[in-house]
Amino acid sequence: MALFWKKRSDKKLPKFKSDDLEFHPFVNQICEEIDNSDYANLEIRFNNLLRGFGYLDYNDSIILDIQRILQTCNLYLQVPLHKELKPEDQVTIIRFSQNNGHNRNNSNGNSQKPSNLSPIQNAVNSVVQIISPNGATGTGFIIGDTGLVITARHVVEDDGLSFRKVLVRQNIQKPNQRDLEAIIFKSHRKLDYALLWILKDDHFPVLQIDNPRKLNYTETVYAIGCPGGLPTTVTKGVIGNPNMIFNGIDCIQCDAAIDHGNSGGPLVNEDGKIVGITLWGLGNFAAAKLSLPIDYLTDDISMAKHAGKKTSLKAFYCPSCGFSTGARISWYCPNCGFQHKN
Amino acid sequence: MDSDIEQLYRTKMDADYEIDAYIISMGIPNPERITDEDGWRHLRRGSALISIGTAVLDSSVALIAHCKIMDLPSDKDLTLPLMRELLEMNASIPNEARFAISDNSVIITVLKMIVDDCENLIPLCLGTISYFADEYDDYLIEKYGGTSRSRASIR
Repeated sequence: MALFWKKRSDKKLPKFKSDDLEFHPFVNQICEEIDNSDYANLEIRFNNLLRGFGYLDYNDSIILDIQRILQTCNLYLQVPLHKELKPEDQVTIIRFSQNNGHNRNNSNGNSQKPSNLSPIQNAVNSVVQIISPNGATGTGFIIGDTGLVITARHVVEDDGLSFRKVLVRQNIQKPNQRDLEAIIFKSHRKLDYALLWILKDDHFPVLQIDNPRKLNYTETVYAIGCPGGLPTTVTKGVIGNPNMIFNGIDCIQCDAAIDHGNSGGPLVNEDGKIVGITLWGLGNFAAAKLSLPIDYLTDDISMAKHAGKKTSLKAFYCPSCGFSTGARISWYCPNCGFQHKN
Repeated sequence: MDSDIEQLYRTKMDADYEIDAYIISMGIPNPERITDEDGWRHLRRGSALISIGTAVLDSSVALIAHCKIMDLPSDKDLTLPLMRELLEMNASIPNEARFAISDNSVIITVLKMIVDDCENLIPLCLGTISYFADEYDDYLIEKYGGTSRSRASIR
């Protein structure tokens, strides 16, 4: 790449600490290179990337800093998870788009227009279908941009034991539909949720989280899911009771139409932010569709994002209770006593 | 003369007949309606849903009855004290009934080998199961049936 042959006349490297990204020449150069290439990506030596952002060495926080800067321009740095990076390694910066190839600068030189999709449409983009090895299907949603997914535990279990690997179908019945493998690394049998990592290293559209404690009676909510294996479907309802106690669990009750296949899907507010996970219904009562408030999972989500995909997948996982730990364990689960075969 | 296997299955059929007769005496005229494809009868007594059936085990026939009490908790700080309390209760329950765990459920169960005429065995098993299930299910669910997980605050 000609960009990186240039030797700087001054020995002092630029420090791009400002958040004023209009004036971020290195990112502008990357965008220009991608625009001029046939593919929506750029391969660059890792050493050059670090120096371009003003770093001489790297750690996880520096990578996150670089990702944050790149993401504001719809760019994403693919970092391999299976090895430590060396200065001479090639890394790839890809341009991602949620709107079918929306370029930063089109051929007329117009600047990128912001997305004019509704918040609910944006939320739909983060919803996936979950397909279990026994053929059961449900819904999930992406909560982490590197592939952290949440779904219902009862979708991914059989005979009381959780599966370890399932299929995640993205963009159902669209031209860019794809099936991705995902590994379950944590779940909770009582609260009926499961966390998964999509194995593929890619950048995914994410659902934002809102505070379910702010919900009020009659507030409008939307249930997004794949009922009966259908493509992603949105149904609208109102909050019937924001704090309904069911089986000892504080639930959100609404009347949005929810059927088999919706389990694990998000319940979102009018801002398109998730407030609950659609899980249960009381018999045939239309007004008694119950969701688990998302704040039951706050700690698990934070820990998963902090640990990252690689560390999470190496941890011990109990198929019976869903407990997960990175600590060394013996022949039984320290949470429930379930004896595993390893 | 019947072979051993034939004798066993004849005993099993007699036991099934006695179970159906007892079910009819309880006021359920059609035992077939509460019998599933594996031969288990599912009947409700009070708040307890009891499953009863027979099985051929090696060289004898067993009468088995069980009733689900609750789901096994998912949290260690509930599971551990529950296990201990169940074992302590097992020490004081009469007539071979005992608390047990099966497929992530806490159940109360009776397993009795059929040696002679089982006519009196069936009411005893069902009576024991339904009494203890009715007596302890609400208590155990209230104490251990929830979750120790709480909702975090989202800023």
